[in-house]
Amino acid sequence: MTGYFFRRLFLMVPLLWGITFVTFGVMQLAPGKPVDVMTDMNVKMSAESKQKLVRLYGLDKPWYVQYGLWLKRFVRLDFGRSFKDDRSVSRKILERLPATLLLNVLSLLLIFVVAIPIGVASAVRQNSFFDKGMTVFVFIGFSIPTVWLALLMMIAFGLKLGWLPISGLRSLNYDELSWFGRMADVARHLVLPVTVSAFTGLAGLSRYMRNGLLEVIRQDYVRTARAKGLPESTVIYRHALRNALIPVVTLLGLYLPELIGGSFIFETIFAYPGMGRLGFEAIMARDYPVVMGVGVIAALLTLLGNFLADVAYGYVDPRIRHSK
Amino acid sequence: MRRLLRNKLAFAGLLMIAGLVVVALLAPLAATHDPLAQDVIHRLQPPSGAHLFGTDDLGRDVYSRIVYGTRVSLLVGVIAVGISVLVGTVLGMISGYWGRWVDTLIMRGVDIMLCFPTIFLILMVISFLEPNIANVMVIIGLTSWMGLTRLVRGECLSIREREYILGARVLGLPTSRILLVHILPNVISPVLVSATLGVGGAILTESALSFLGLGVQPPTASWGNMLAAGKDYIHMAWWLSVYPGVAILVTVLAFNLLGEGLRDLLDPRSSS
Amino acid sequence: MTRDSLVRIEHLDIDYRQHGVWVPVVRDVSFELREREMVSLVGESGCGKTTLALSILRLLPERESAVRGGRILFDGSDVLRMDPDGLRSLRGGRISMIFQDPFSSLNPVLTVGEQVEEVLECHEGRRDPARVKSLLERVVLPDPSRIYSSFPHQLSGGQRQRVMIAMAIASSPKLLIADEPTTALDVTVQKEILDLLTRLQDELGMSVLLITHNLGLVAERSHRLAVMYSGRLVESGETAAVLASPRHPYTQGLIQSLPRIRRTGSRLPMLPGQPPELSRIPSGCAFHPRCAKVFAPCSREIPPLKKMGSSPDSDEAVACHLFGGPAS
Repeated sequence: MTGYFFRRLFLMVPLLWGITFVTFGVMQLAPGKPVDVMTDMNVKMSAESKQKLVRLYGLDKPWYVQYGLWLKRFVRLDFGRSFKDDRSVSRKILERLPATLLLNVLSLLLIFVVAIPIGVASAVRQNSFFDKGMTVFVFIGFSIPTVWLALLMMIAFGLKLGWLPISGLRSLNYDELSWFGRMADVARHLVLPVTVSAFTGLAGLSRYMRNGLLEVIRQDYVRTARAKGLPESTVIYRHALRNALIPVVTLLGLYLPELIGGSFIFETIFAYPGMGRLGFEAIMARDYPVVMGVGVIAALLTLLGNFLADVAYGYVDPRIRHSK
Repeated sequence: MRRLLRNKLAFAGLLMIAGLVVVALLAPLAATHDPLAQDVIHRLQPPSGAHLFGTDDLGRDVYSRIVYGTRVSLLVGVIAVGISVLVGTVLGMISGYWGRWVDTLIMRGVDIMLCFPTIFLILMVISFLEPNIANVMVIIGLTSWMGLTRLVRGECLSIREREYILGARVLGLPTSRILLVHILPNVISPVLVSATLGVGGAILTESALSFLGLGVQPPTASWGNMLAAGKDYIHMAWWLSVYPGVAILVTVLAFNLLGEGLRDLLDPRSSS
Repeated sequence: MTRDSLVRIEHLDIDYRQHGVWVPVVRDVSFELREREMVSLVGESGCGKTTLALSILRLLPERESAVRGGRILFDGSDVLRMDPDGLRSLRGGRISMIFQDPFSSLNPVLTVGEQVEEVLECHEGRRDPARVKSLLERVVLPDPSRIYSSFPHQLSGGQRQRVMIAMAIASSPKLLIADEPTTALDVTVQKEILDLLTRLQDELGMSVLLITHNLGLVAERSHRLAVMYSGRLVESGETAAVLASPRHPYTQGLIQSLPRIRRTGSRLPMLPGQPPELSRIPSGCAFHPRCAKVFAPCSREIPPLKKMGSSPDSDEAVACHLFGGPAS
């Protein structure tokens, strides 16, 4: 297990390097070196911010020097200062990060807590009415434009029914509320963004869980468990489900970039004060230092998520846990 | 083909796609109004006989805009997936056939690309370039080849060791010929499934981008930018948001149904 | 030596679904297994012997198989009509089973101890690590305490099959069904496992149904022998008698194709051809296209299983038109 842990850790090094390289590469697209061509057409870019950009990235120097400078700053997570308000980019991101983590962790929880039982129930009652209904739900979940789903839910629960707030994370009177009232207020604000951002993953995981469990139920060791005379519930939950859950852990790593990507859209739609909206607004305002910073942090979060998923996988699978 | 017709899912998907293609090709005939014609006096009209799906904030006919939007969605879906299939298949075949350091390099590249949330990468690049339909297609294509590369590489690895490939190599056939004649036909089925499902994904991505104002630009009608325009009127003109969304849902559903149906047909392992 | 009947299978018919079409896998099989006896069921793969064995515990895949007719009586009650509770006390309690592939038959995420112990828990309602360790010792596993907390992947194939046997004997069953228990193992391990099974059968006083495609393996161990071909029983009798004078041409072919140490150098006569596909079983005697002694009725009529031998309690029976004795 220790060996596995360090091997995984070691594998992250080239990925980390790659992230810096891709980000640097994308940055080359920024109006900078071909500064003038791009900025002349770009009214939003003032001469002052152009100067800043050139200074910040050393755009007047050859590309390998630029990359070196960029790497040096990357290691210190120093992304410069925002064009908009001249504040440190790292600080701006740090302020917004907790809200984004809250949104994504809750979405992940929702996905796993809801989708796994749905998948199991579908597999156990394969081809039942419930299973067929869930198949329809899964197809719609894969096909629905999530921005539209967000709109529909805002119309239904926010405007027509008036049950839930449709934007922000806190009500205007937040400061006057009791501790419990504040918690309830935040929770109410989270319902719609969390549901919408979990929706596609929910459909995907319940399908994955169903097919995975059906696959495991066909395995010889499940037949052995039946041959032992174990009750069906023990056969399913103790023998089959445990094995079917192992690969699900790795999905954590797959869903994370999806969810974080979704943050950029849903935080914007729901005016949610997170890193995603910060990134989106920076994109719209051509606030490049912030854009790059958010991109790097998002990639690092994904990398971290993948690593945690790998470690968790090693932990739940005894074949890896007990290897050298 | 006959089996395709027997698979109800795939058949339903195929029928829907055929319908959409007809609508896209015959858009001028299918539309009742000019999609760009403004009529400010009759703005925000609810659905009626004159305007099937009502009119938008500039008095344009929503139905006709949706009809023309079919062109945008199908075009973006097909071209973007075409790019990603091209990149993914070529890289996957190189990686799987040559192996060794080339393989390692390409696979690490895939891992790195997968670290970035696709949507953000697209937003980032688009913000540096100019948001228009051509850029949207290219960028969606260039950020969605990773899954295909892995898929093709895996198929390649297993085919490479089969006897007829070894035989062809012993005979000294040029590598390009082995790849094109012997390996490519074998990877087509899984690529086809993945590409069909990918079209749906690309259409969804385009609609999200256009919704955020970084995709297809007004006045050209795209379902995504129609949703964005409708957002500001959701409490007074529901038809602006509902119909384009249904159009996206139906189109993506059609490709997903066909893709899943094809998977059942082409992959005997996953038949349940 | 006569013993009381333990399992009696009567006119069993089982179908399997292949590509949406039902095909016969077991046809009109009648068969008896007595107490404290080891019976071998022999045949090429695909002849229906595993299906027959699984049907005794009702372990056939639910949607892909169907029992079309017949009865399976165990201790007098019909297994096919048992309610879920009765079935559970039967499985792993009075009848247990070990399978062909010890690599895939043990759950990879549970320890050996947990997997053996749950049999005790299920049938005797208690956890008892000491009993589990003594069971592991009984199947000759070294260092039972270590094995107890091991995962299957840490054991060799032979060790895993011993664990399967330990699970199978945990609740002192009356019948142990062993489905090709040694096929996946090395030759040297094969003999050890069979020796263990023979010894345990004797010590525990249970019956064993040994399913195999390898006649040589069962020759000196089992009391009786039954040969299946294409879903039907074609010959049965006391092992020694059948091996000494096989009646059915198929049994003769199987015996002739056994390698023998004395006849080194001589070529092994192989049975020509392949067993038929289930969807295309030949008319009449299913073996007739491969049979050297085929004659007129073989392709028309299915030969019934007829009792052979003079004494009334003789076990020998054969289903072949060459033997036109009175139908049993």
